[in-house]
Amino acid sequence: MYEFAYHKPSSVADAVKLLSADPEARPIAGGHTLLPALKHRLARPTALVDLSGIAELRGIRREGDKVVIGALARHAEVANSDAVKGAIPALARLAGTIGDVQVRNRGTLGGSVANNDPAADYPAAVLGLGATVVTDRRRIAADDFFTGMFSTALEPGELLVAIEFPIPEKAGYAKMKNPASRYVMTGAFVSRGPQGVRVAINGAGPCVFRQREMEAALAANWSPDAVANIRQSPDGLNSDIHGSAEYRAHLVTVMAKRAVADAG
Amino acid sequence: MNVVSNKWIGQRTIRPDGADKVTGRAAYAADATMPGMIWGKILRSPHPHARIRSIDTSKAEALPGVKAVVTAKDIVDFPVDTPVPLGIQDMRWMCRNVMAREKALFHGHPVAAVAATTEEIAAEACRLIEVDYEVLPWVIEIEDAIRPDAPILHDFLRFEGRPSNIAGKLEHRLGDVEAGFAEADVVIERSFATRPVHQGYIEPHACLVSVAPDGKTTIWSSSQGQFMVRAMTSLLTGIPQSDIRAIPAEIGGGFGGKTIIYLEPVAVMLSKKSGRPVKMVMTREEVMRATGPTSASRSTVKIGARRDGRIVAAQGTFYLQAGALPGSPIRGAAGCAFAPYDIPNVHSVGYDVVSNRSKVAAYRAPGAPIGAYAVECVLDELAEALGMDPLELRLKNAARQGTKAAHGPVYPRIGFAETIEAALAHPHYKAPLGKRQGRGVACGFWFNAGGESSAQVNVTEDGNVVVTTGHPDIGGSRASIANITAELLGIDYRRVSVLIGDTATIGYSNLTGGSRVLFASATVVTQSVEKVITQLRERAAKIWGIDPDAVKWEDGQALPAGDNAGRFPPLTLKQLAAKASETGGPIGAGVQLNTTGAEGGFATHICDVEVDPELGIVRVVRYTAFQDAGRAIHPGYVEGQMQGGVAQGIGWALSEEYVYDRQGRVDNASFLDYRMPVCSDLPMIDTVIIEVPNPKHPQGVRGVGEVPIVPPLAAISNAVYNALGRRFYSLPMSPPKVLATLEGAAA
Amino acid sequence: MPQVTLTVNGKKHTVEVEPRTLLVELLRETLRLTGTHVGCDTSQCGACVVHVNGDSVKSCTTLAVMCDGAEVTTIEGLARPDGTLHPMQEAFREYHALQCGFCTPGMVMSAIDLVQKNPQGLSEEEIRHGLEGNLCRCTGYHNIVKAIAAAQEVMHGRRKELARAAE
Repeated sequence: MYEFAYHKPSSVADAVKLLSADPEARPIAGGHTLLPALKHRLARPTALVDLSGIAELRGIRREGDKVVIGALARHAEVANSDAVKGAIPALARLAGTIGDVQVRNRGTLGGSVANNDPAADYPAAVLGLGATVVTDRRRIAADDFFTGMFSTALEPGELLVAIEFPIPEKAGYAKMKNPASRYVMTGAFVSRGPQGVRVAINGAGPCVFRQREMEAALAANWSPDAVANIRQSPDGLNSDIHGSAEYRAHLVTVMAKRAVADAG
Repeated sequence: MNVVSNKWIGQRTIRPDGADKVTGRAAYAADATMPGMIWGKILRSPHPHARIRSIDTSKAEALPGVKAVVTAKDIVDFPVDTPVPLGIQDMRWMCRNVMAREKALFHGHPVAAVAATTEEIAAEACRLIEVDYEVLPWVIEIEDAIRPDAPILHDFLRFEGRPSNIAGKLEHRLGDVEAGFAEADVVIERSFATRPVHQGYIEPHACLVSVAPDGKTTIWSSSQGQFMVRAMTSLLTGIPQSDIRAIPAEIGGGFGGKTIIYLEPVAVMLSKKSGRPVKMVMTREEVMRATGPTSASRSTVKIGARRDGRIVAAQGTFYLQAGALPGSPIRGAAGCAFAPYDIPNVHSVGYDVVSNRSKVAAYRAPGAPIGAYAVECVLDELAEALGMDPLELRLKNAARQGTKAAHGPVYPRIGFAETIEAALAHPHYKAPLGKRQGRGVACGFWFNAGGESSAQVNVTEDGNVVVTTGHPDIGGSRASIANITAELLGIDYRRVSVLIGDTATIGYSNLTGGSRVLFASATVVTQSVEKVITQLRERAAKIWGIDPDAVKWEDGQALPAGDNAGRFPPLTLKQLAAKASETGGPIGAGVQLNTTGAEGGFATHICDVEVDPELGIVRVVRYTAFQDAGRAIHPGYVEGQMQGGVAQGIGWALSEEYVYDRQGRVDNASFLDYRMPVCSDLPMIDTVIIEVPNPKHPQGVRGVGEVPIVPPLAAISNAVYNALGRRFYSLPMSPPKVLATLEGAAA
Repeated sequence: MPQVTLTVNGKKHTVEVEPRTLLVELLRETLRLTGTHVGCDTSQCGACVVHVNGDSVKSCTTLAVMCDGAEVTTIEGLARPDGTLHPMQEAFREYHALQCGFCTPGMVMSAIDLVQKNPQGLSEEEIRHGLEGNLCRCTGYHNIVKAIAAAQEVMHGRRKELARAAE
């Protein structure tokens, strides 16, 4: 690892000040994405701003027709939260399958969503539920948030504070894990609710995306069969040593079908 | 055979190193430290094939904190025209593998090394070394390497008179295959391919080396043989063996991959140059890129049988990737492939093919799984063509006592047929299968090995026992030695301490490998204990004033026997130890032997798989392994070997593989991308130990460690066929490949 | 350099660390607690698992500086001062759930966290999924699963003593 400075602010305002003052500084929460990158010298931040001391970023609560989860919520907390399990059980199940136990004990919702790794789980739930990303300065709709591989609508120095998940009537998630890393090869998060029918696909492309054709089919007929014959084009999908774009395109259909079955 | 009461032999005793390993006390190589210690790092080639024109280390040497820099100039050269074999290695290739000499031969090949006060400075210094490379065309895959126009790795290699990447050929012949095939009613011929897989030990290679000003050298390292470390390091550094003390640290897994050295001679030269102790620890990426995985392979196997199921001829051709320097395990592939069967006419050929990837190292039954994969899959097709049960076909042709094997030996009493019979009778073989499930069987053989071992057995002053052997314990050999010693002496196993000596404290002992450790060390320990018992009887005789022949040893005590029976109260080990000084001095004995009589090991496996046809995922849902262990001294660790070998075989069959990118680099040199099975990928692995004692061993032991990885590749492939009705002829049967085959079938 | 104070195995330590120091480096190099191992560079193998404030974490993917004020337990801190092994350690030894022993400390630490957080008891399948963050190459996991199944009975007080491994 290269050397870096370390700061531990106790408020969002202080964290934002530190991050704004130094464009090469990076926030760190659980560190399960950033630290591996630092260890392999893939990133060279001048400073790390440790968010773990900021109480404003914590907490999981139900607020009317939505569940609000603080950016620092660890995957294990979300998986075990009664509020989440009661309102959006698919989200709790998703959180309970991220990585492994130790990743879930450290990794955070905010870190995963802000990083927008194409093979991460949470972006599928955020997009698939039509959630709203709350930052230190604004609210961003999920549809506008994920802009590309490892890129989001967050501006330099902007901090993800919480995510508001509207409570759906039904939601389900299915994924195939990469047999080595256990990241997502391809997953599908489906929901029906106040945001209409949404199908978000992760792992398959460079960035999580909505499968509109499947959404239309499910809007007409909410059943696994409705998506079973919808083919995803492999154009633009990821291809790597674990699976070609064609394989991933095939998985999109299978995972969507299984996600609908999971939603019930 | 001198097994008597079996009070301890066959018991699942607590392993002597158990407490250390569950409390974190066990000291592995990377745990060692010394005052003044500095850190070594290796600069590795960024090219798969390049001539090294020059190396400029001046900038690295000028970096503050750097204490020494080493290149191939500092390693003893062994000219390519004079073989210098050492065990399964040849120093001509070892000196070039440890540090690239004329050429860098694979991406990750060591080119230089630095020692500095911190790991970061050493790494930084490596980046400052300027190497002038002439990049050369490269070749990785077997089929590319044996083409007439392939880039040639070594000018000195000739095959059939021409420059070639074929470094060697091995052939076994028995009978007349042409005549044999002419007799056959059914002949099946198929070709197969496997990918390179890594041993996957969790502990990366590590060592700590200290060279004193007088040249006395101490090495703490993780290896499968401290004497191998000493010998190779001596040859590569020019330091006499008597000046090197190689201390075996606890070893965090090897599976053959630590029967070779990478770091030790480099660390020795860094320490010698810097005058400081030097520690080197590989990263996982270095382990994956630059230590030996096993070979990729291309095989063709043809087997002919009469209508009644009698196999009359078999032919096999096995091409194995050696990596950058000669030495792939063609003997294991060509030799073990047909070894389980009584076949009158056999022709088996292996070719050793070099290419620009890391030099292969031994991996559990080296080569044998590759041979068995092809043979056992063809047998499955043969059974189908003959309308026979696949186990009945194997039983009908099973090698037995007196069978002449194509690779040479005439078998003594072996337990192969017993493993098949046990499998046929096992409930697993008849259990109903669920939807999308299939069942496959396969058998396997491994030579096993004897060789040199040394032991010292000492009675302590308080009447307990310390046994020292010369073999690093990977799979529980200390526990087995404790059982044998306790059994022979008639004392509780907890009174026996089993230690592993270093090169200065115990006699020469060959590698922990070849499934030889318990076979060989049990032999020398048994003979040592017998000598100790003789001494104990003599001491008792002296105390009683009777003839030693009139003293017997029973249940941990000396008893007057024959006419003297009952004349004196027994003398226990404790009592005799207490009187040792006055009866002649310390009690203890050592034995050093080149052991022989390690007979082959055989296994039969049954595997059930379930296929997810939408994803192409194959899961092993039930597995039962049957193996002739000769005599299971510690059944817990025999089963452990079987379970571990099967798990590695499952990985090899379904998920593991090296992938190379378009620049000839390993594309998956980490556990992020190398698909090693985790707990949730595997089922319980049931085991059935068959005991047909090896007549050539005091306890009847046969090696057990390697056979278990031999059958799984074919057992799983045959099960997948049974589930899907489609055969696969290459590994791994990864989800995209299975899916593509299924879709191809549907189209 | 920042100073961190953390309690390791019940003992308070105040040490200066570079911000880039990993928890595993602090434990192994500074405190010489070498029972915590490193087997990979990418957070997969789990040989480095320790408990931080009661949760199992990979100490190779945790900055020491972020553990200021934390309670850390390593494999060395499990047995009682009189040498009595933790039931999980005892189970690994009794059930032959180790061969080379290199993965064992991380396995034991992960297993304890898993059992502690599932007082209702874990099935074989749940144990297997709970160990996805730890690689073992020797045992095929068979005896590890059995050891954990046995240890949970003692840890949750359903049995006074560990059931002996089957003969």
